[in-house]
Amino acid sequence: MAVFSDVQFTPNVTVQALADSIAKLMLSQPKGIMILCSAEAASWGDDFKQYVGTLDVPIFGGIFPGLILDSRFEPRGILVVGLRTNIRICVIENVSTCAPLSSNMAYMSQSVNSVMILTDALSRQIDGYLQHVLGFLPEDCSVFGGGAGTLEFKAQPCLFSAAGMHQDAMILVEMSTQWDIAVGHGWEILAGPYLANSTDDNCVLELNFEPAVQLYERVVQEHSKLRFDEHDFFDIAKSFPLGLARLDDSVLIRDPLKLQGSGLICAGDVPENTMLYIMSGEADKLIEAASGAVKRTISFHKDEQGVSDCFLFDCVSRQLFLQNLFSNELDLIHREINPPHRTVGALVLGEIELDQSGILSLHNKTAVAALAKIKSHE
Amino acid sequence: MSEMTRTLQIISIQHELAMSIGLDLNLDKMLQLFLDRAKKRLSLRSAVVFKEAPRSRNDSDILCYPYNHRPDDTNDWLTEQVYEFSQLNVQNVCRQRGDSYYYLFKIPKFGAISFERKRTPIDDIVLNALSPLFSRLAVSCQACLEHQNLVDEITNRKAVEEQLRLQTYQDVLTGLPNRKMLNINLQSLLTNAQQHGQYGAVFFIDLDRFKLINDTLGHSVGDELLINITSKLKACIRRDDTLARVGGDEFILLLGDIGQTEQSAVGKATKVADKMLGLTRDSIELSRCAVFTSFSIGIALFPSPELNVNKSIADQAKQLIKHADIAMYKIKHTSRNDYLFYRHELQVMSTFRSEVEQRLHVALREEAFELYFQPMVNVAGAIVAAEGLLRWHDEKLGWVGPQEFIPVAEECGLIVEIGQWVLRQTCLLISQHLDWFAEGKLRYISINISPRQFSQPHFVAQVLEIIEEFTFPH
Repeated sequence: MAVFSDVQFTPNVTVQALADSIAKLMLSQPKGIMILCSAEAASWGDDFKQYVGTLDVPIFGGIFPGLILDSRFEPRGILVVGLRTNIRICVIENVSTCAPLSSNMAYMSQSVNSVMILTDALSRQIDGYLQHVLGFLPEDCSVFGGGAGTLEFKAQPCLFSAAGMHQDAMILVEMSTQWDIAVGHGWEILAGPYLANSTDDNCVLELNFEPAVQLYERVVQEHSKLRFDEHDFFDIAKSFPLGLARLDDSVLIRDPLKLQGSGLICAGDVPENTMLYIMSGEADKLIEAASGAVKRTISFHKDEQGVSDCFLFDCVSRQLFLQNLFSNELDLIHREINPPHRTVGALVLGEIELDQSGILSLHNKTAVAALAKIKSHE
Repeated sequence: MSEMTRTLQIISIQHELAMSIGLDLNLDKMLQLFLDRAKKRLSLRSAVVFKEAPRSRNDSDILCYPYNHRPDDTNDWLTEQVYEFSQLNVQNVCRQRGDSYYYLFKIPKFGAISFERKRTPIDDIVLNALSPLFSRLAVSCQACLEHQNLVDEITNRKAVEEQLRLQTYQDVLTGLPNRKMLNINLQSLLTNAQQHGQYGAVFFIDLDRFKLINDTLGHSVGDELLINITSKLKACIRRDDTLARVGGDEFILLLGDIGQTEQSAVGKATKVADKMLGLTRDSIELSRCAVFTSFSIGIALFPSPELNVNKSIADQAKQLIKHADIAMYKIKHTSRNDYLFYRHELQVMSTFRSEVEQRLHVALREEAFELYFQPMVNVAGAIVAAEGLLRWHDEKLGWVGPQEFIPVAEECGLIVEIGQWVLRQTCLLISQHLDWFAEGKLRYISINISPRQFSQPHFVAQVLEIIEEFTFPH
């Protein structure tokens, strides 16, 4: 039995189109609705609030740079997903300005099996909140999600709840469904390590005691024919992310999005005195890493009843890097999902995942797939 | 991963964790930073610090209790493991529970730390690289504790200093500045006024009949009245004006910047004084009763030709307060519930009054008073009695009339001794001329007794004692 009661997609990004899609979705009697929209929804404001006020089903969602439906990438549209399981939604406001304390979040229930986290990608202290949330979750709870927003990197409302649209917020969606998480990125170490001796949350100010941008541009230019004075920074940087090596040999990727003075602004925090690598990637390896992770995860269930539907949070910069080949990644991932089950998701600005070692991380340039265990919701 | 890269990675982790020690002087924050970093870099499920503490009052063993624990049921198990570990003579151990590995390390002279890794154990080479970090962590923990002690000590000292400052400069009952603070403020106000050519005023405010209220209704009511009055007076003035309590029922108000001419200063000061007098038009409601009171207010303006600018600012300040006091004194002994601006004549009167008081003491000691007897006649014109009248000729002041020295004697209390002297002199006269009474020439001699003398607790006994000194029938 599927987790999704129904999925509706429309290329029109209006509140009316949303209402029409949800009206169709309601025929499947969902217990909760996820709404994923492209950037055009940012201006909905009060119209959205008024509309969702009329719904008697819990809703949540966000605005993302692109939507994923099965093997398709949709740069524009509305995707609404009906959920058969009961959900409980908690919205945390003022993530950047309030310290992560228990007082500004409703407590998670101890019996929860999984939590989806959607966060405003431009908020500061995301990692602090993630670690705080983790402290309240039971041992075997699965956690996944991603950062909402648009490629304009403009501070604006980008998350949805029954209360309307939210900015600088984090949405936690408790579910009783059990999910297996598959994670892969495929990036490899190109150069390093370098000591990030001066950082400020998500900004790397100095590498090896020299301005971060100076070292980064020099090293990247040594390894490619591209010149930073001839291209936009991100046009080149999207192919050369930073990597934080961990003891289990995994590398946490950090996407250098833009420059701020001589510092590199990344999508995610970089602790001071961390050793960083400059990474590089090849399309085939990236695609193989993501689809291979899904394949391996599903293979663990070959003797059981397997998995049903899939939530996929794939980094937007993978799509920017892979371009036309990105559809191959989606196709290979969705191919692992048995019909009539669906793959739905979004291109996100930072991927959230709790790994098997119990580490809750905010990744960049990574694909995070949550695969619903069939036995968990039958 | 190549051997070289692996080594580099371990060195980088060791360096990163070492650098994350001691980043904050607050112990909790310092440990939290280290634990967060360790969790990320070592891929840990949890990292917990335990601090040494006595297990119980009767047990000298060391118990490590969760210093920053995760709220789940693993906690009790882990605490027990750490306790057992603390008894062992080893620096680290690994304990396994389910699919988790718990690495326990000692933090010398502080406690222990637990790193939880799920599924895959931590390599020995990494554990070896971590070991030296905990000595460093111990030093930082001690430094934080010492820093906290120092901070506590400084905080306590500052609190004591603040308390002393308040005690030195503040009236405990009302929270108003006391005389010391008032003097400081007045001196700075005087300096400013002289520099900027602005007028200011000193109000000497006395609460009428306060002593009576205090004596009859009790000190608690008196205190409540003072607190109530304070808040009412504060409502009449500006935020920067100084209202001080300088005695039991005496307040001094300093007003600055009240105009550039004497006329406008008088106008503004009058306005404030009127406002204050208006406060006592109705009774003052206290928690258990309502009382009527009023103010006597003396006002001295500055700058003033009366102030000697050649004197120090401190002396000028004292002089100003004295002027306001003189004006207050005058109004209190004339009309009360009113205000009066100081003028030179008041000073003259006040100086004379002081001299009278001083000479009264001498006169009493040297018996310089004289008693005159005024005959009292009946309707037929025959003398039947006499009234003793006190007269005083001072060698410095000359003849001083009773209307001038009696009120002074009343105020300073000398009237009691003077009254006794008069009684004694009258008794002496009677004892020497008993025949006047036997022959019926005089029936009695009357003298005046001050109410203050009457109110003496042993008044009757004292009168009888004096009469007993002389042998005449009574």
